[in-house]
Amino acid sequence: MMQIEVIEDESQHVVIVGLSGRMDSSNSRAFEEKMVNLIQAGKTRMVVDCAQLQYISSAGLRVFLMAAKQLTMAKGKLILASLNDDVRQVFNLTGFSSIFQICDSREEAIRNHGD
Amino acid sequence: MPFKILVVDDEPDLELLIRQKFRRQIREKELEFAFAHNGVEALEALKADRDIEMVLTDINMPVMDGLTLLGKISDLNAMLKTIVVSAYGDMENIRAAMNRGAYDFLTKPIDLTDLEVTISKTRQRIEVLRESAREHKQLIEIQNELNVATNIQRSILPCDFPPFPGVEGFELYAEMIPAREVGGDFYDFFLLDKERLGLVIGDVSGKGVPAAIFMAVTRTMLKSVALTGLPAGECLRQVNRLISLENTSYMFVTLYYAILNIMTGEFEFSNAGHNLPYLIPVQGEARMLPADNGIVLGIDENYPYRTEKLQLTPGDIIFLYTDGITEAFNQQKQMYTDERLHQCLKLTPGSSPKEIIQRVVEEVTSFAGNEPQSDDLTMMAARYHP
Repeated sequence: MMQIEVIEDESQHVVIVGLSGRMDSSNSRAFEEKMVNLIQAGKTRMVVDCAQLQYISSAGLRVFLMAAKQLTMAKGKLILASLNDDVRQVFNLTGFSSIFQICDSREEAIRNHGD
Repeated sequence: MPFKILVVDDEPDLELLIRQKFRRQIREKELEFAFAHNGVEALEALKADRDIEMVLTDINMPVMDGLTLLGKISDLNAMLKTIVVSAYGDMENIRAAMNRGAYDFLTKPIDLTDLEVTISKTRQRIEVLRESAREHKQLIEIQNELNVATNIQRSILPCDFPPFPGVEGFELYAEMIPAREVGGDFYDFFLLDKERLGLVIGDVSGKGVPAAIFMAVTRTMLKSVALTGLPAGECLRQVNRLISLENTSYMFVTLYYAILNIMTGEFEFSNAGHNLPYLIPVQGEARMLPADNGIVLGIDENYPYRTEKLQLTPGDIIFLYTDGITEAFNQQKQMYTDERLHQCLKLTPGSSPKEIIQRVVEEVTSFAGNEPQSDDLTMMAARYHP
């Protein structure tokens, strides 16, 4: 139901995690493990590309929150990119838009890591 | 632990033969044998040693024969496997034994190599059975955990309507239809004083026992803060501070808290990232009630939740719900959505809170069709009715 794709953009030193499908409590743990492993491996500049993410439940939001807090502690940064309207609405409603940096495209998100 | 076998035969030589044949396995504590000479002795041995897993029994014996013994063994221990030994070609007894639950049979004179194969085959079979019994037990434990979460949720939500007999000025109804795995939804209502009714609806992130416990804690905290009579936004600030300080698991809760003055119709509310309620006015169309969307509780300990106010007209209804409604899926993986809920509520003028909730339940259930319900469906509706 949900795929996770990890790409390292070595020229920019950014790790891009692409999500597709529906993220809910039945699969958010896989995403959590992936993020924890990347953070522990020292990947602190991260972009989560949500272009193909169709739905996110509160269990999925929790993982974003966990990742953002751990990256902040590791002096890193998490930037989200390309939220579709439904996912964007959930971020707006829950106030998550105000605690995450959200960009319209993956390229913009990568550029923002350079700043 | 050795595999324990009880051999039942009135022929004394068999014991020597077996001890000789399996001496290596006995010495290496792979197998252990016990011996009985008739059915009665066998039953006593089985009752004395519950670790015996296999019985090898003759059919013709004094005192109690093998067929009678078989019947009693199945009462004693269903996991016990019995192999009967009969005369070659004695199909009648073999069939009778198999019908009484024998697992296998050997013919006389016993071929000891054959017996060795039968023992190892039986042993494997018992292992498989034991494994599946273990798995079954684990599944039951998981189910029990789910039930714990459901029980926490059920025991917390008030479900007597009307809730405060003798108190007039409003009409209230609420319902929660839990998902198979509890989604952490809750609602609550209480009288702050003679004029003010507190209304709460919330949804904890995640599912299962952790969500249920977080839900119970949040509900209790909010109620105890709310009963001090502070404005809605101030209540959320205090509860948020308490939850955020201890929150190492990154859980959070969306929550909408409102105070309805049942004498004046003043409706005061504060929102922590929860779905926006609908106003179903006594005249005009149902509409979503805008609110300043505060962040969910548990994340930012200093978040300044605001108190907002609205004046209700007698007969107006406020409809509160959780995302289990708007995010209910059908088999085509489409969501019920805010738009469909809005359309549904537009068609309910003149209905009571209970009728509205029943209507929404019917609509969402028929929309979802056979798709399993993945989240709790929770609704609460209050009519200002002075």
